[in-house]
Amino acid sequence: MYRYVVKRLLMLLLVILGVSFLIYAIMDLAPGDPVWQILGEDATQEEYEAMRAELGFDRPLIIRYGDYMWGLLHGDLGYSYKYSMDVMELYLSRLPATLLLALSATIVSTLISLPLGIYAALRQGSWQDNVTAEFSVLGLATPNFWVGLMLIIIFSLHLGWFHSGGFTSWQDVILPAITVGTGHTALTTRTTRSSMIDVIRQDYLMLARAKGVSEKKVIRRHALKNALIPIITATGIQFTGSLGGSVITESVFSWPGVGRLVVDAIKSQDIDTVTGSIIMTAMITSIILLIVDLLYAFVDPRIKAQYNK
Amino acid sequence: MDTEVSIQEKYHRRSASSEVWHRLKKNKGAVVGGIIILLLIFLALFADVLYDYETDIVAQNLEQRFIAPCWEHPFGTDNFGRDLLARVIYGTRASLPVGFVAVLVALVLGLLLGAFAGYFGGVVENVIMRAMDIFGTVPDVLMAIALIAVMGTSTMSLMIAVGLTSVPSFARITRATVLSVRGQEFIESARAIGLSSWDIIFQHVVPNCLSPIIVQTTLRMGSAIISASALSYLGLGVTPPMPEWGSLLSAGRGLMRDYSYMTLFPGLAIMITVIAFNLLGDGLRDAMDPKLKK
Repeated sequence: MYRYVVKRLLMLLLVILGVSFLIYAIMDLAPGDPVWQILGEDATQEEYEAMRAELGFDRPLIIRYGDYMWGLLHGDLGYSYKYSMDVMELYLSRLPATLLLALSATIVSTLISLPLGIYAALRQGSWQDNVTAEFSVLGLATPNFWVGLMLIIIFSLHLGWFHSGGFTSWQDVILPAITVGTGHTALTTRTTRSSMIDVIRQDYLMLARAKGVSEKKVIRRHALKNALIPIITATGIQFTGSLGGSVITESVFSWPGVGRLVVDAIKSQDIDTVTGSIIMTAMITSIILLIVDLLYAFVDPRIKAQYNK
Repeated sequence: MDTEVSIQEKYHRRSASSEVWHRLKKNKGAVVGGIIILLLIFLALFADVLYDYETDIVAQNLEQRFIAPCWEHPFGTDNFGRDLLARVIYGTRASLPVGFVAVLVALVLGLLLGAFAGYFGGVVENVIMRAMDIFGTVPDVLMAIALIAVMGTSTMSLMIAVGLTSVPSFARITRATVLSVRGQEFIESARAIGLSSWDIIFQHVVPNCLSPIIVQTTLRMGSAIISASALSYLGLGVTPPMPEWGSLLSAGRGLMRDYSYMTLFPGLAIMITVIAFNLLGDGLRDAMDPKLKK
């Protein structure tokens, strides 16, 4: 187990280096020369060259990347000219809102898809199962941000139950969370259903029933517990998906998270903020996916035994 | 004698592709999806026969502003007095080609990378697949936004950005299928008669891997159309005055309080289009590989 964790951590390090270099190299091609932005348009060519050398922009890409990562290790991601503050500080000030949204969305989707998936699996082939499948087709095809717009029209403009955007009280997370959460429901419901169907067919469930264990207990104690692995994977992917993928929902609801920060920064060519935010989000994503992977060992002793070999 | 012939016709005279076609025709969802897609393509092709771009789509007509859906304007009119039905129909000219080109970009690159990785194995495979993993680690929307930041906001960069984010999934599927074909005897004999690797890959390996790739292509159309409309909603894709479903939604966002119908129809258009592609994709999957059908 220990060796496996170390190996995975080393791989994580490689992935993080790869991702950050990729993003850094792509964003390096972005238009909008920061040197001109600092100097203003009337600077002379000599002033430009001098400033460029002073800021280190004349060095090769790989050196500047090394420098950037060294800075990142010390909590320095550059400076945002649009917001006049350090990018790291800016990112960290927006991260809690995004984390809150991702977490609430995951809760919403789990609350819907877990019971729905189990229900559909237990009544495999029935009309209830088919209706659930049709809903999944519908869910996969509906643009998330449009669901958000419809929710605003119904619950905030017509019924007046919620604000139509912003983040001033805890209720404000409800509509965005439903928007992001329902987007993931289709996939998690399908995963839960097929995972449960696989488990339900196993002999040990028949044995449990034969021993006289109640049906409720058979499902909860014996079936669900063994069906959890794919469900946890789906939930983990969904959580990380909402971290980076709720960009549009954040814009729809004027949610003060990382996604909206990136969109605003792109529009004002605030390249340092874009680069830093995407690298940080990708890093957090891979760390969480690793944690999910390691979680299996705790849920399933069979997997733990494999690692220990 | 007669019955023998008809039995023969029924059971033996069908090639693999007509077998697929036969099964596909029996799948109600796939038929409905296919018909909707044909209808949408028809609308896209003949949109300029139905409406004139200059007078009906772009020109402003301020006396006709904000007419709620009625007989004359089934989808209502927008803040510039333009008929929304016409604009939604013209939207097929943006969304369909964007989805199509994006998926084409992903298909060509993913197919090449996946086929090379699967066929050559070893270092080539490792380098390509790890690069795909790294590329796939960045959330799709963020990656697309970064690419658009570099290329500038235009329909072309939207297509390339959405396409590039789908490359890893095509590469993975192609590689997996190529792996299953690589070891078979006909590949070995092709090598024995001295064909080059390039010829073997594209004349013998890839044609035998087509069905999962065709299915993936159809299913990806739907998600590409959603991503593209989302990016256009953010103002990072198709730009006004060209009506695109995502930018129509974005235009309606600020006016939702009083004119909520403006945000209803473009969203429905996206949903129906994506459902059609997904139904057809699911149907193709079942028709091409009946074993997979649940």
